[in-house]
Amino acid sequence: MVVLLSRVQFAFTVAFHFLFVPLTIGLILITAIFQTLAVVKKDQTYRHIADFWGELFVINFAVGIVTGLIMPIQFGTNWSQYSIFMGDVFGSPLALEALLAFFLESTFAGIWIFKRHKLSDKFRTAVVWLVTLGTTISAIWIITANGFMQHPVGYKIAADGSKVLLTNFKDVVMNPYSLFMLAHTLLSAFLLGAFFVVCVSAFHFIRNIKNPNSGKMAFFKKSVTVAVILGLTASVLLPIEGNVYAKYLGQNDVQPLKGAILRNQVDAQGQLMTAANQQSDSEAAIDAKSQATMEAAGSNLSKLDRIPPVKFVYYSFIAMQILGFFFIGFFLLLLLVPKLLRQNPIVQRIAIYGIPLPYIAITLGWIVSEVGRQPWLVYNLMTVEDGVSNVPVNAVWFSLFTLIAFYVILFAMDLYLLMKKARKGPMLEEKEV
Amino acid sequence: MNQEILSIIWFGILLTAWSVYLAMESFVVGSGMLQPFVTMDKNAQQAIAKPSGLHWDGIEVWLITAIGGTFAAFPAVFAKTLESLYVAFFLLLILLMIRGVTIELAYKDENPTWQKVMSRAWNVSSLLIPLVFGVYFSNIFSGLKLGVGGNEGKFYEIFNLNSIVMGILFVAVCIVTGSAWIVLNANENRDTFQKKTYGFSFKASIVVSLGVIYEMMAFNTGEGIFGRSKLFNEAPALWALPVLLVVVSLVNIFLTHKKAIWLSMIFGMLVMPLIVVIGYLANYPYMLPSSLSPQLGINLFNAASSQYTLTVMFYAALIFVPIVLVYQGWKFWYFAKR
Repeated sequence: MVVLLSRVQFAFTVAFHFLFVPLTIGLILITAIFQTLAVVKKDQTYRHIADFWGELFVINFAVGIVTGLIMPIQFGTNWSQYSIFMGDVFGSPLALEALLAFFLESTFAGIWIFKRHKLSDKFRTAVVWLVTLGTTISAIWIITANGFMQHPVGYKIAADGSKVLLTNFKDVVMNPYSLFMLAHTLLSAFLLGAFFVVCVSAFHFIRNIKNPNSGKMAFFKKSVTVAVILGLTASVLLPIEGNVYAKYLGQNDVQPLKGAILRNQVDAQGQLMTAANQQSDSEAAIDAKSQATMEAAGSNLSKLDRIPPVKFVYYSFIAMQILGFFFIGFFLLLLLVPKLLRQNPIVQRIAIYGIPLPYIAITLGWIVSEVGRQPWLVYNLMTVEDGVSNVPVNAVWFSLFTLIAFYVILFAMDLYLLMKKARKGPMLEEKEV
Repeated sequence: MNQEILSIIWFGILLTAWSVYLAMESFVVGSGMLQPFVTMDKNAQQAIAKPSGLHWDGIEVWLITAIGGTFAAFPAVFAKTLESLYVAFFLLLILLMIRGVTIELAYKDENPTWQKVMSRAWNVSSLLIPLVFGVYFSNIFSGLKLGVGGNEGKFYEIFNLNSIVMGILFVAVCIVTGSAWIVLNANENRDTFQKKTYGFSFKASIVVSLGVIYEMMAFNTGEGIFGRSKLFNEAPALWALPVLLVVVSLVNIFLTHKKAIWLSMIFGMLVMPLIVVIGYLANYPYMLPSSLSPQLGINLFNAASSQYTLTVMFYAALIFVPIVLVYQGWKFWYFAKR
């Protein structure tokens, strides 16, 4: 029960946290671009644009940062066996994330949040780019840590088998799995940020439809131009990069089973289907490798216990791809016929009510990645079951329910503020907030 | 460097991170808990909240660094501490989350009810955070009931006379530094703020001294928070630290009485770091001592990561900790009067 509850709690808290992270990454980049344009073009409109999107960034950032705090703590509270086994490798990226990324991000985000109206354009530009740098470095380290769980490299097992020891830090950082995952994550965050800007802009286009030459129309027109270019670039690059990523992870020495699932070559029992005869040596590789490591770990899981929920992973993957192609079409349409977003009610409604779509696509991607790794906590090294803490089940019930209750409140607060600010739109005269 | 020296260096780095965190957190939560007692005027309240809002976030990363650094350098200490104090850590987390989100979002909406609810939640969480930290460190230093299979103590056992005194002591420290921080950041309100905070600050400094003396009475007796002090008997020079702690807290009564704002803030900021450093040194080499039997505690040398990991992380800390200190120091300096 402790395992199940801890898994539910981790899945819930990480999924909730990740509602905020990609928008933070995407919006701060968009804010930084507009703030830079304000300096380069010496046009105050861009400063207002940066202010508006930067304000929405702030609301999102606040919730993102507090829900992030819980993630490293949970490795100790709920997954202490994992932390002891993996600490030599896994602790470093987390500590480095704090040292190299969180300090930068939070020190300068504080300035952006509380002092930006008092700063010169150049100063503001430096601040917002430092925050952008911090969020990006943060993504690098946390994905480095996750990449090791997906595809362990640069390590050896201690002589007594009690833990994993780091042998090559460079290999861990340059882990190809992490690099593919990083690119995919950052691109999807840019896509989400772009979609968000288009969504909010569509709302204001509808509201100001009677006076197409107003300041607000011009304001959002400029916003959308940048967002569409960013969104189209990201949505086109995603499947290209994703294709290479999927080919890579399907290799025999990476995660052959996940690769086979994504190619729809596995049935629910984890057996390769006959149509995939040409892959028969990969089946042997799956069996041999996981058998050997299971025996080494002294585990007695049956073969059926060693496969993830195949169809769940496969259909998540397919749904993510469908959404991916929708985004390409959507952004392409907006690039070719920009006035559709200003005038066409159908396109406007798609933009507004479609805002959950990029979130759904991102969550589906994580399901493929993390559910597809089950039952492994660290691929071929440690199962989820073996990683859990020795804590009373009541304690986990307590934390799970407290967190759910608290997160419902947080989510309501975030939604209330975001919608209110987004609907209100920009203040086109400089004003102290 | 061999692993033993690296382990000791990492022990030192973590004590530094805790010290920096507690010293700075004291005035942020201090201003939070004092805000409604200093003024009920909306604009004046905002004048108190904003400087803390500007800095809290960068300060809290020192906490994450202390915890993440423990994970990297002493994984077993990290895992066993958090596992053993499961409920306490989630309470702390929720409090830190409430504090963070309220301080950031309190003034993001003009709605007066919103501002009021957010501000009160900020005040209450600011009061409870140092209380929980006091209870936490008191339990770590006097030892958990760590048996072979893990913590054998019940959740409520973390609350006892020693730990509650420590919690109140921590809150009192935050009132002293928080008062000074409020006055230092005040512009037109400076005189009113000084008058309002004086009583709190002076009384709190007396509570700090009483608390310190109470906890120190157990020093070297084998019981209580600073009971085990083998290292102090081996290296008598270390006695300077407890003496310094007592002197600092007593002198601070005089400083707050004289309204020496800067000095009382600096002296106040020293108290929690000194307590934490003394507490860890008293238990050395155990980072997570067991009150059942010393051997069952977690020793820093046994818990340490590999020499290679400690070396990589040591160079990272050597380069980046000073950089962080410089830009955070710059931020305090630059925005001191803006």
